[in-house]
Amino acid sequence: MIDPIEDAVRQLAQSLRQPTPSLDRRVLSRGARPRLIAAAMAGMALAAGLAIVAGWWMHHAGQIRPSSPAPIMATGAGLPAVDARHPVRTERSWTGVVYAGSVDRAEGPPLRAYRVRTLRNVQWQDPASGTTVTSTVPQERVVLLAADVH
Amino acid sequence: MRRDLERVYREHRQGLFTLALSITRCVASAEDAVHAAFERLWRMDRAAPTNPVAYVYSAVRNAALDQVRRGQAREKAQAELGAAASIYDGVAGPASAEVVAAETATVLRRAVDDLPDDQREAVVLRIYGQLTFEQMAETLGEPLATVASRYRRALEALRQRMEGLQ
Repeated sequence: MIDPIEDAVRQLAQSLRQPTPSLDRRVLSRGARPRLIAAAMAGMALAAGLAIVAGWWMHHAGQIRPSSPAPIMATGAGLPAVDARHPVRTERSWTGVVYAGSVDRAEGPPLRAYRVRTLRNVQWQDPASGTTVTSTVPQERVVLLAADVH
Repeated sequence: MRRDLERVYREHRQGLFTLALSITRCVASAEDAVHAAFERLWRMDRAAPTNPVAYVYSAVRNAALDQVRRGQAREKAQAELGAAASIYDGVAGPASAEVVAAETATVLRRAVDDLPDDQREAVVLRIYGQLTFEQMAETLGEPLATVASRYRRALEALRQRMEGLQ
C-alpha cells in the first residue's frame, strides 16, 4: 500500500533543484583527464630534458645568461592577469588537477615544473589601487594560477 | 569500477546532487562535493564493490560532510543567499497540482527542508535516490533497522506537519 505522504513527497521530485550542466562536464570528463595529465607530464619531461641539454650546451659555450625572475602569469575566464606573487585567496580550491591546455600564460619562464591550482572565487589585491577585487569564475571556466616550484 | 562510476552518475545524478545539497545547503558546495567524490573514486580505481550505488552515495555523503566540517558550505550559503538553499527550486511542477495542491506542496517542501538532518537524508536517499533500505544502511554505515526506523519517523513528522494544516 502506498503511503500518501511518501507519494506526495515523491511528487515533489519534479521541483527538485537541478545540478548545473557543468557538473556533468566535471564528473564525466574523468576518463579523459588522466590521459591529458599523462600527455602533459610527458611533454613537460621532454621540455625539461631539452632545457637541461640546452643549458649544458650554453654553459660550455660560455653563453649562459643570468636567470631573470620573470613573473608567472595566468589568465582565464575574463579574470585580469594575476601575478602569482600577489596575495591571492580562495574559499574553495583544490590542488593537483591540471586542466591541460587551459593555461593562457601571458609570460613566464620556459615550461618547468609548475604547481597548478584550480581556483574559483578568487580574491586578489590590485597592486595599483591596493583594493581587493573578487572575481567569481563560472565553474566551467577555471582559472589556473601557476606558481613556480623550485 | 570506473565503468560503474559513469553508469551510477548517469542514473543517480539527481539523487547524488540532492543528497549533497541536503547536507551542505549550498548549491556550489553540493556540486563540489559530488565532483570531489567522483574524482577520488576515479583515482582510487578499486575493484567494484558489491554495491557500487551505495558505495558512491556513501562517498558523496562523506564529501558533503567534509565540506560542512570545513565550515565553507553553510557560511557561504548564508552569505550568498541570505539563507541555506533548499533542495527544491521553489517552483511547483504542474503534476504536483494534480496530486498535491500547490499550496500544500509548498508547505510540504518546507517541511522536508525543516526535517532534522538525519531524517531528511533518509527521505532523500529513499525517495529521490530510490535506494533500498539495504543500500541506505550501507551508505550511512548504520544498521538496517535504524535506517528504516529513521525513515518512518521522518514520514511521521511530515504527516503530523501536514495534518496540522488541516
